[in-house]
Amino acid sequence: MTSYQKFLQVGIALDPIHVGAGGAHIGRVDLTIVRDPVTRIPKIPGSSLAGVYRTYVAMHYEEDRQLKLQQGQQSEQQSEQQSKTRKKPYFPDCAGLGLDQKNGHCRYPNCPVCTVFGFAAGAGQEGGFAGLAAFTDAHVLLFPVPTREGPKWVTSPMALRQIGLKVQGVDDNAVYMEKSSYYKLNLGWLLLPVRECDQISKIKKKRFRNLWGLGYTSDTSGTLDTSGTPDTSGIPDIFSCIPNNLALVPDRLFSHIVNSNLEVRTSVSINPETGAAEEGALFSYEALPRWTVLVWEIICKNPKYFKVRGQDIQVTMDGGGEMDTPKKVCQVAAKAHPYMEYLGIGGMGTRGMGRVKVVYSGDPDSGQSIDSIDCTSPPSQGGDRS
Amino acid sequence: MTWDYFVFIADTIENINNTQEISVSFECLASGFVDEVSLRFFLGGDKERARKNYIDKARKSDTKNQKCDFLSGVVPDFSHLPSLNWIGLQVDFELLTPWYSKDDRVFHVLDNPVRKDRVFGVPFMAASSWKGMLRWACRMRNGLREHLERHNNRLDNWRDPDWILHLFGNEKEEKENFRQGALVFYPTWFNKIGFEVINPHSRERRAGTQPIYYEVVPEIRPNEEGGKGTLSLLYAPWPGMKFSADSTKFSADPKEVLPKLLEAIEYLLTVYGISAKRTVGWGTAKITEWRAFHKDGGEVKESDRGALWKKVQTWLSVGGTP
Repeated sequence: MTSYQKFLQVGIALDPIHVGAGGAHIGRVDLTIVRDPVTRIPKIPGSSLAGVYRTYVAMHYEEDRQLKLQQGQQSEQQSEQQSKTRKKPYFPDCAGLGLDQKNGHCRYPNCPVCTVFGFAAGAGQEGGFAGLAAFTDAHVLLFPVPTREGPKWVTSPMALRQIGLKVQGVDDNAVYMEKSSYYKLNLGWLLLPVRECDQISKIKKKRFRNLWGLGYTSDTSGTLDTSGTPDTSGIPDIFSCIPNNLALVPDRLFSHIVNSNLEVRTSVSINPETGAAEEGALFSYEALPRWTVLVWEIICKNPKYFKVRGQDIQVTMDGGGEMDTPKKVCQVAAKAHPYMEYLGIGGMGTRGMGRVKVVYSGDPDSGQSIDSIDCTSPPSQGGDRS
Repeated sequence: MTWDYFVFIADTIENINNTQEISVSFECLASGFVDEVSLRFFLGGDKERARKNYIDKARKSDTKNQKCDFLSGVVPDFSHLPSLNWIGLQVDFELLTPWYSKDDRVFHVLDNPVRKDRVFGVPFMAASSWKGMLRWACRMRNGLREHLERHNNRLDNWRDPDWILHLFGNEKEEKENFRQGALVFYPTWFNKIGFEVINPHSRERRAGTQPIYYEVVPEIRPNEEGGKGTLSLLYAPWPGMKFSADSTKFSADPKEVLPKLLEAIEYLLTVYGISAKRTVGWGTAKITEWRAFHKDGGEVKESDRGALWKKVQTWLSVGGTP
């Protein structure tokens, strides 16, 4: 029995995503977003993901609880039914910091939220619990950029390593593509010579076709079936266009390209008295653009190895059975995915920002038959023609 | 060689005869074609020709035919809402007058390009614009105009009624009772581009001076369909959101709130308009279909909001009070 397991999550931004860095830095926008301190590539911190997952999972179980209470009131065996339904609300009690003694985290060993996401030691109470699921930062895997050939999704060897792919030979100051009608291509303002690399079709066919919706159905059951053929139901056409428009650049250029092509928007408030823009209310903000593909991991520990306040963890799964493996812990966390598709993550959520559709949730190594490609090309390629 | 794309295009244009046709094929309204035309315009070549080139291409580009348009007509998928208390709404409309909102893009052949997605070049109306306009429409239906008339056009003492607070939330400044709204907005993608000209006249000579072009989403014309779009929004109250009258200082019952919201949507689209330059009548539309979605109730379609509300009403009792 494994003591922990990693689960890869791939999400596509349906809207621009703005996870704010908390205030302005010297630069061209008022509200900046969180970046990796080393690469300077924008990311979504694991702490933001953990909080959002926790809230949405609590919402899911609260909906469930309310429904059971209603059914209990309507059915004959009212008292029996209601005695099985817990009295303490999952939401808002088990979401958030939950330090309040009365309305805070419930800390029950049978609570799916408190066991999976942990709880802190409140004032005058015994120690906390770290939680069974850990979240990594979400990093950019594919980044959409306008070019003279239409949109391309830019990636780099460093980004592709996150899905277990080793790419070699991407060394020149150039853009590596499966095919292009130009010898030079602009990624935003940056003009690069094109190197054609037929290996990219391998990534496309083997990797992305598998990641696009393999084993993840968009229903609320959040099943993690990592076998069989990709299920692409409910996935818009655009997703199938992404693998056909890949552009590979060396790591040293990736950060520049991402930072030069972030969505920068100007927003203003209209003064209802005058019908014109409010004085001093004009602000600009940056965001990861729509159709950015992000990747993160959920590391799940085995519930059998832990005790909560001296008792074994005994969480009942939706379909019956116990939460007794790391995979089932991930299934509980994945209850948040449908909510992420509608309510999103990060700032300005009700104004059309932050929605993410998780298109893959499962084993990082499933269905992958290639793990390395080489883009080294003969140096004779490329030229000064346009 | 240069690494700067715009320097590269400028060199290319200078090296070839400036009157030659555009060298880049037209992919979409966010591609090399627009960059090249804009550069030709600003480099002081044949400005008129460059503008005409752009207008001809853009007008013909019904966005469906563009190589890189995956967006026009994209609407959110409300078929698997996770909560029984949520209701998805979609309102299809066709424009009766032109729609315009200025693009953020600064480098463009036209003074007034219409707002487009930066990567795909598809014209769209931002979700934040919808939210601001719909809140204003709700306030108008709730006596904002009368209030302004009584208070010398000042907003002092105006307080949003509970139902508007419940739908839209309030400002961050309100430290006390700061809350998020229950409505979630989506952008609207349009399927067409058209052009309008305004021509300011000299007051002395009573003749036109310099025509100003506006790139717009066109209105319906004889034998020609207007630009079409869909307003999508999601009513998503979170569990435990206060509804009942006995809760502290807040009451908003979905049964009372939603009909008011539907009415405000209809007024916004058909009477007030949703575009910039609304005061000259831009941005009004006719509603072609109302759709609502529910986890258990599925999807319903109606041609008027009254009939839609009759069906949506039955869903509210199913989910109960959150």
